[in-house]
Amino acid sequence: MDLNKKIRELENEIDRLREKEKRFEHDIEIFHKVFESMKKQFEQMKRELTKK
Amino acid sequence: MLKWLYSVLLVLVLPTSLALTVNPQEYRIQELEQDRTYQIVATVINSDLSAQDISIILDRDSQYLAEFINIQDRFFQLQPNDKRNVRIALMVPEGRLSPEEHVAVFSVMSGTYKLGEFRIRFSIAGDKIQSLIITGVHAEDTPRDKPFFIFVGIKNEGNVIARIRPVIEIFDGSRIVDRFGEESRIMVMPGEDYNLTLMYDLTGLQNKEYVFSVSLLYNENMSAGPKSVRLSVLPSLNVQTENYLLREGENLSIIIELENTLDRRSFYNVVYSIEGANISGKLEGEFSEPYKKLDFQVETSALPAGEYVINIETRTGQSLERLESQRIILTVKGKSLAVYYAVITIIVILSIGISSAVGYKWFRERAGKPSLEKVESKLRKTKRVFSRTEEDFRQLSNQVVRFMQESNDWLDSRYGRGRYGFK
Repeated sequence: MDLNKKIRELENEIDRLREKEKRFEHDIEIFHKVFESMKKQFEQMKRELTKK
Repeated sequence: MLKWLYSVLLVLVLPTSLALTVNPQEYRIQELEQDRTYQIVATVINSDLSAQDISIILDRDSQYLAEFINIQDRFFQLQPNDKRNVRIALMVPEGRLSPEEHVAVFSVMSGTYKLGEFRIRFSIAGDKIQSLIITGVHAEDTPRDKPFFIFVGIKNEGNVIARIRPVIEIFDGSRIVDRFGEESRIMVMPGEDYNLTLMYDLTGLQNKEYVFSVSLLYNENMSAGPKSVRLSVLPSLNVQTENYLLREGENLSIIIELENTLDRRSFYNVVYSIEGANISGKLEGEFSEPYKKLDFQVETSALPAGEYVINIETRTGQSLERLESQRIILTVKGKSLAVYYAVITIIVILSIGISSAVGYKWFRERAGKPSLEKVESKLRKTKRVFSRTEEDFRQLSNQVVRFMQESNDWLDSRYGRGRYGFK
């Protein structure tokens, strides 16, 4: 029975890690979008400065 | 022949850094004569005990003045107790700058540290026309667990710079539920268009329709807008709905795991109900530890065989501002079937900033026979997924580093050698 309980606890831990990983992936996706937006704004600034 | 300063007010102020002194800290030119060159001298004194490698750079918000300014010897080394005169030439051709006050802010840097600052403030005579318009607002229906962006088109139809602070208010009917955007600062030159993108975390909202109303506050006390967009907050995509099996006469066990990554107390409120069965309940409380487990039973033993829908609403946060909703399909089978019991585990994760996720973990457990092989296989799969995420993050980091290097190279080619705040 103890072994079964331990296995269940490990399963729970693995699933908890999976959820953390999903959240991390989600954060990466957001950071990526923000970074792309920042790059675009920098390119816009470069174009304006080069024009003048 | 050098042209000398006209109508210059010297403002002597206290130094901003104990290690470095800049004197004077501000030059003011009351009414700048266009097409005339002004020579300004600022003295940098190193009162530190060590030598300093100094670079003089124009601040980001003053970059639009760069073409009218020439700094002699912007990079130099200063020994302890030594001083250096930094010569700056300012010449604004007729009609090139808007009729308003302009401030060129210079940072005195040592490596990536800002040790001091000085400014050149001048006015261009003329009639001001302030006119900023919102050309469009666009946002799409978005699931609550996805990044949400709102796009605002801006046009400066005036003849002066618009220094903008956006304000977005979120309406539920006539009630304002939140506002954001005010921390952003944008400068739009006269005659220019600008596309503003703002991000918002939808997890504090419910799955319904809202109106996002955009206003732009700019300059002293001007405003543009409001312009609105109506959109729906959609249910989280991460919600997994599976069929769950229960034997007639059994009670349903529910485990809710709350994870608190915020460094403060959080409240929780869980409300569940089974449609068509007049079964409902509520749990509420508070916790400040990183994990809290809510383990409770729902009285389903009297439910006859059939299919049922369970709705669970979990509210968390300091003011219960976050809401996660789940729908579960529960199948109650007759007593003649093999033994199964269902345990529903809902993991609610509170996190700082943008994301929060609700994941479901469903598992069925056959009494007395969990398997080591299953756990090992799960672990192997999880490791593979982690490696993929690590790889994604590595690639993203490389992109960021490459972007920083390329932007530094561009700044070098435009403004001379040295690094501007990046290592």
